[in-house]
Amino acid sequence: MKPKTKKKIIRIFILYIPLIIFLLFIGIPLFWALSLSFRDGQSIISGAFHLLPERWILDNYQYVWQANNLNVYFKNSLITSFGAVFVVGILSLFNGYALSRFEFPFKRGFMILLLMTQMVPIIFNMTPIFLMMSKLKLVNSLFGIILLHIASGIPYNSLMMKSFIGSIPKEVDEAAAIDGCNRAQIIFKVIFPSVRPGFTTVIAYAFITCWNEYLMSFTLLTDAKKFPISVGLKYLVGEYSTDYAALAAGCIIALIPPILLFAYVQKHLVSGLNAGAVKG
Amino acid sequence: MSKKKWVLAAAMFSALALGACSSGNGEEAAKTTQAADGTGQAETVSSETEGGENVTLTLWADFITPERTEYLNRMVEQYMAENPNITIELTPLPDTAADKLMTAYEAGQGPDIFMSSGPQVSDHINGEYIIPLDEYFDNWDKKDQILPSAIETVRTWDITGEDKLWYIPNGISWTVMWVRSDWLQEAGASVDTWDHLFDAVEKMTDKDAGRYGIAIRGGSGGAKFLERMMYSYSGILSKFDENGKCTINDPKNVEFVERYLGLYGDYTAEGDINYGWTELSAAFDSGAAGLIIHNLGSAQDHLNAFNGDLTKFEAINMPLNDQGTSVNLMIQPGGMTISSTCKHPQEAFDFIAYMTTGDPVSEYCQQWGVIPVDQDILANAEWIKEYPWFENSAEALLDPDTEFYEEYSWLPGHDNIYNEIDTESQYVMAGEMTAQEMCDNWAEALQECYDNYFNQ
Repeated sequence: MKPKTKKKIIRIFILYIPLIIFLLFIGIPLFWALSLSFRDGQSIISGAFHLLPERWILDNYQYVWQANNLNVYFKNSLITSFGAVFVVGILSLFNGYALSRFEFPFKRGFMILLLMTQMVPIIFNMTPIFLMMSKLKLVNSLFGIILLHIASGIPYNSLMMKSFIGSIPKEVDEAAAIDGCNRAQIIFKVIFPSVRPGFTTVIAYAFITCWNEYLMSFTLLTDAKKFPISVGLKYLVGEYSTDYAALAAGCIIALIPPILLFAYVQKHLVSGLNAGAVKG
Repeated sequence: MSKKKWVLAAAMFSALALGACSSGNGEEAAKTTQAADGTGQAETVSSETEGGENVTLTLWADFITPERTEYLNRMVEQYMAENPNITIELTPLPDTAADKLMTAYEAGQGPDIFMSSGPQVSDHINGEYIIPLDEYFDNWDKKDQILPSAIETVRTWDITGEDKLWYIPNGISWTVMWVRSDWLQEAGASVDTWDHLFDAVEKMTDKDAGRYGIAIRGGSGGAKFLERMMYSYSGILSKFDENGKCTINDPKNVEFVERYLGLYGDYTAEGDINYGWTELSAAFDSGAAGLIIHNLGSAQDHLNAFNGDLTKFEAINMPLNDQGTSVNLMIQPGGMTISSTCKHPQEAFDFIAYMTTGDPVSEYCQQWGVIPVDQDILANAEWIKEYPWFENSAEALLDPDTEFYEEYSWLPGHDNIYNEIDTESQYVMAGEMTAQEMCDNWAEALQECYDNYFNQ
């Protein structure tokens, strides 16, 4: 066997086949949800197996969008996610820069503290958070939810930004300073263009976290018309029965923004993740 | 778009989003309610009164679906139209909402009224989050309309031991056996007694055709229903005897577990060992199983699955045991509580009274698939007569000969034991544990619970 052919075969077994299996693992539930979302709900309950709907209908989408108020929940999620995500991005950039470039007392302890915030399940803190937000008159407010998204998004994303910025030599900052840049100019004109892939990664990660968030929004919002889409989908799971077709349609709708975002940022994301992996 | 513009646009969007939603904060002062059309559009409700103090009450309800939201919005609108000085702010919640509710109660910001399919009153009483309603109930002119057994059941949930009424029940979930009538007829079998039922399960099974006589809920929630069948089979009427000894490992109960879980594999699908409610329901609705145990809440699903053909399935009450009695469980009814932070408990009770009798409770029970506690509705509602399962259950509830066993579900820690027994029942099904061992473990855990409460 030629070495080139042997290499190809190894590549197929080591790379392509595992990737195909992984793709099936991810793709089949997605495909199934897509198929269910176009099916009549009654045909699902009856247990008849059809890979594709016998009759394609859009009723489920119409039902969840209007009767289940998914249009309202979708808008709320967009507001809270986009409202938080760019603030998280910018503040993480500043934080990451400071952690990467400056030495200050207890820096290591501070970084461990940032990491530790990710280790405590949010439900442990729910009552104190509720009391704090209540005192700030921010219960049942989308603004309050955005603030919490920002607060909970900054620690981990700051550490990510630190890694990205750390991959840029300090000499670049020094050169910019010699050329007359002040600190803000160094960050925005020199560092930011270099870490844009990393920044994109942070934005994408922060967005997904905000978009999927359930517990804080459900606990702190008392007006159902302010709920995000993650809570809205829960309405489709009944006490004794579940409208699977409507739930599938709702999930597909909820998937659209993250899919569009990832499609847009994919190129940056891959290089961003790689950059972060090299430098610890 | 240039980089600078991109950053600028992003920053502007953030600022706009923050600004847009911050206005919502101020809106809280305005008394709003959801529009009856369920669109979620806020509608400002005037609190100008024709007489009486302006009162705003917050109402949270759990396990709400879009259809249930529509019902609640309509009822709230109707009530507010009849009582112009009252404003009800409704928050329909999906699922149990237990964590949300407890957090809000702990922060002193719970709803004035909480409507639940099964309120966790023990926790709420312990935390002093709700108030007893005896005084209001005693002064209520329609109190005699409410099914006495439902009121008695609610009183058993008073963990203070004073038999107080901590919530007003509205509907009772009734445990039934859902069975394929056509299969039974075909097999020439019946399910009127437990012995006949076991016989029918065998006769209805046709493994080659992928048809099983029964589906057993081996997974989550299975132990709870297993227990109901155990007491129905044995005819024992209390989980603890007069000496406070647990009866769950009584030989008759153990015999039932052996017979029932012994059906696994021979007359059930292999997958039953992990079945939760969803899989159980799917097995029945898809024609893979001839019998399941659940409650009336799943009626609509079965009706949909069989295209409304009432000749294909029916619901039966618990079969007769050796003593010729049908022993059932009076499950904790759903109902409404009033929080201890409520500033207008009388007005809150008036709303509860409105929702618990007449058309509002009738429609509620139809939507929720439960039996109304209003005896007038129970005896006369057309929708109850329309479906045999509701009629049978209503008759059983009103029949003085119907026997109920005392579940002691209100004992602190009681319901947590079910999780352990769910797992142990799987061991029994897999042949890795005997029914006796499982029941002994169950009895030990329950006894500890009982002793902790009564001997503390």
